Amino acid sequence: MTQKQSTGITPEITPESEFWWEKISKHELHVQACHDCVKKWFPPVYRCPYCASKNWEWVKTSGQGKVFSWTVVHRAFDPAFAEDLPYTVLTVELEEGAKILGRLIPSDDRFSLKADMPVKATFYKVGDQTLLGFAKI
Amino acid sequence: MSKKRPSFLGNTAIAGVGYTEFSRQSGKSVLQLASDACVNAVIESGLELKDIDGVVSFSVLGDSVSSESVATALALPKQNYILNLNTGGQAPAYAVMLAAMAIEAGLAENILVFRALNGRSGKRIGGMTVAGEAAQFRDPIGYMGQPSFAAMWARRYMIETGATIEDIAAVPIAQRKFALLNERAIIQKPLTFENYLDSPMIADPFRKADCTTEVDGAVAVLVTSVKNARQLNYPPVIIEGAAYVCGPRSGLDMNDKLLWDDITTNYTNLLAQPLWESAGITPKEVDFAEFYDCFSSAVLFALEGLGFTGRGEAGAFVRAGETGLGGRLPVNTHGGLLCEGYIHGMNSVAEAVMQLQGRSGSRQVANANIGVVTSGNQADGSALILRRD
Repeated sequence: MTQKQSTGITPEITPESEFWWEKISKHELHVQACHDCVKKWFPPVYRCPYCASKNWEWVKTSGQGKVFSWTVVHRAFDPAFAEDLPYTVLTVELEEGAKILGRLIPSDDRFSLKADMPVKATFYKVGDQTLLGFAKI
Repeated sequence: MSKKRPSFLGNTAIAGVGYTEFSRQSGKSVLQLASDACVNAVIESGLELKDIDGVVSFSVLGDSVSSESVATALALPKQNYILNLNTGGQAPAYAVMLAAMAIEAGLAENILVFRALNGRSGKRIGGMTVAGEAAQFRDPIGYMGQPSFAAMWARRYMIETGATIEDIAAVPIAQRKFALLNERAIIQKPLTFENYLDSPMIADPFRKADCTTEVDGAVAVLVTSVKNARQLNYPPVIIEGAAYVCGPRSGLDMNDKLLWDDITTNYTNLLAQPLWESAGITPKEVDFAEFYDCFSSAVLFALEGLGFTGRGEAGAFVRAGETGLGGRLPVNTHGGLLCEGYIHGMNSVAEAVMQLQGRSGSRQVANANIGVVTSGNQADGSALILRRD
């Protein structure tokens, strides 16, 4: 890409999230799934936020979902993103049920954004860091 | 529900309020602002500083000073009740509740509740990155700044209810009219829908006009018993109803709302029943409201959440002028946080007190007898029902 890109902010990875980030770097999207109440969720929590069970596992998702909501950001709240403006952050409802955040890729697709529009996980890099985005299907 | 009515309700009151000047650059320390607002509240009430035996305040990201430091700066002889809440917009009504509870419990007699910040020239919390367990999933993709988080809710609200940009715009347009009647308001310009569309985009669907105006300043209120308040300068404003609620899965940190089931409704929906029951009244009996409005959509959420309008009807209600002076429910009679400035909602509590004491000048709501104040915008928040004695 010839376009200027953000300098980025490095995630502060926690014991709960280590697995998730490792899979992101391999272009896989995982969420947690509870064996007791069958709920799936994100972000990572040590116990199920629906029933407090520790009986859960990571499951690999299809990466597919639909646009739940979005905001097109026109102001750089951190200088790291000044070159990206305007950019769109999506809340996506994954097929598996959990909601998750990601950048809309490419940015120009914001003009045709619609609620419930089908999207698929895509991955982009800022420096060495692989990050989650979503693209129209 | 047959829950017992909390005993502080009906027995505690706000006796007075104290303001500093609101500005874009105070040139003063936060401690000075806090102390001046507190002194003003005490003098106005007709008490003396030595009568104060409790101080309560709240702050976010270290943007204020401690209650103890204010007690020191005011040479208060002894404190029996001190609180420093580490919370945001959900705090003002809750802080007053906690002070009132302490008074009813006999722990203290006269408690100052303040909020002070150099919100414009000092730490500007609206755009600051908030650390927390889920920040690692937001910050690297550039999902930051309070407008972005509230915008995500507003967009989904528009999708589900069919609310339009005209509905959102109606809120700042209505509040600018009140601001023109309030010399304290930082934003003193009328707003038309055409001007609104010229307002720069911040985080779609929010434009600058949808976002609170960050200011430097402080506001304090004095909480005491109804019995004490009746001996003081102004008519007591009785705390008749109050509630706080934090809904399920409010998140791992302040800005994590991925686990919140329905981002088209906020804490006000959960708060409505306990709030109205606590005062034994219905929305029909309320004469005016001061709704927490960090962003314009918060007013629409509160109107619907507390049952003043049906689902998806708040925009039409505002567009029809019902939240203006002479409307069915005047809302944010000081111009709101959008126009008066962001003293984090403490100024909305103070405005309700001024209205109920009949001291709001040209923006006075006729026969203001009962007012509601809300604090918060997302998963948790608080509210007060205040009544003229």
